[in-house]
Amino acid sequence: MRIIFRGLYAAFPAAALHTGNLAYATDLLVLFQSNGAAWVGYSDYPDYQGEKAGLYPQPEWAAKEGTDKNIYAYGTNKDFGDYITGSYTVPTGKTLFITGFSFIIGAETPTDYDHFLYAWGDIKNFTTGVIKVRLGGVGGGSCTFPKPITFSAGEKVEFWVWNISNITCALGVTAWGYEA
Amino acid sequence: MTGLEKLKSGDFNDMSQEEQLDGTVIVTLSKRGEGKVYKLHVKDLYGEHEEVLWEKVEEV
Repeated sequence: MRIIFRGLYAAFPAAALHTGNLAYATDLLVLFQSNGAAWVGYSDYPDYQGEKAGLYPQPEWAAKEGTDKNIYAYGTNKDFGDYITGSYTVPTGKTLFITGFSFIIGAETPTDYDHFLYAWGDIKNFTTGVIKVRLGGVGGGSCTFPKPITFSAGEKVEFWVWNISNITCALGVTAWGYEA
Repeated sequence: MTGLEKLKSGDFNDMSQEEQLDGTVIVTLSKRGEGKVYKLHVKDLYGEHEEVLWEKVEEV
């Protein structure tokens, strides 16, 4: 198979071509970098020539294909040490890739907004009991993952936010990624 | 397909889970291009005694 990334090669991490793995099926090309990132391309031409070829980071590809996932959870009336969780069990035959995570903590009454509103946010594999990510921050926090956090079919992922402030708060968490 | 079936099969793009004071959860699911929003009130989500208290589908 001959592959020519005409006009696209400059934007593509060349090292991936030399060090990564490659999969190809009919009209779909997937390149895996050693850091776990993946790029997906398609073309109207089987040899990936011409202006119709396209190459996308896999999260962007997932959004184009409609396999992206956004999961949000929210809860109120949380005192110190209380938490909220969002949860999802990965369906049979699928793998969930989390590429971003954010959480927020907010006071529930206006007079409390000048407090030190500290929270923890976790991504946890409920099935194995392993905490994959723990972040902390005043007012919340956010992180993206160049190497996605993965969950296999049947595994339950939980997104936690803990109130670590001394007042009653509302808590929210958002995670995003894709399923393949 | 019910909302719970959509959740369990992963047939959605966006999901929100709004925790209620009694510990139940209102789950909202949507999928781009489908034109529908599934809302379901679930007790013990993913638990042993999981139960859908009510469910509705809205056209958007």
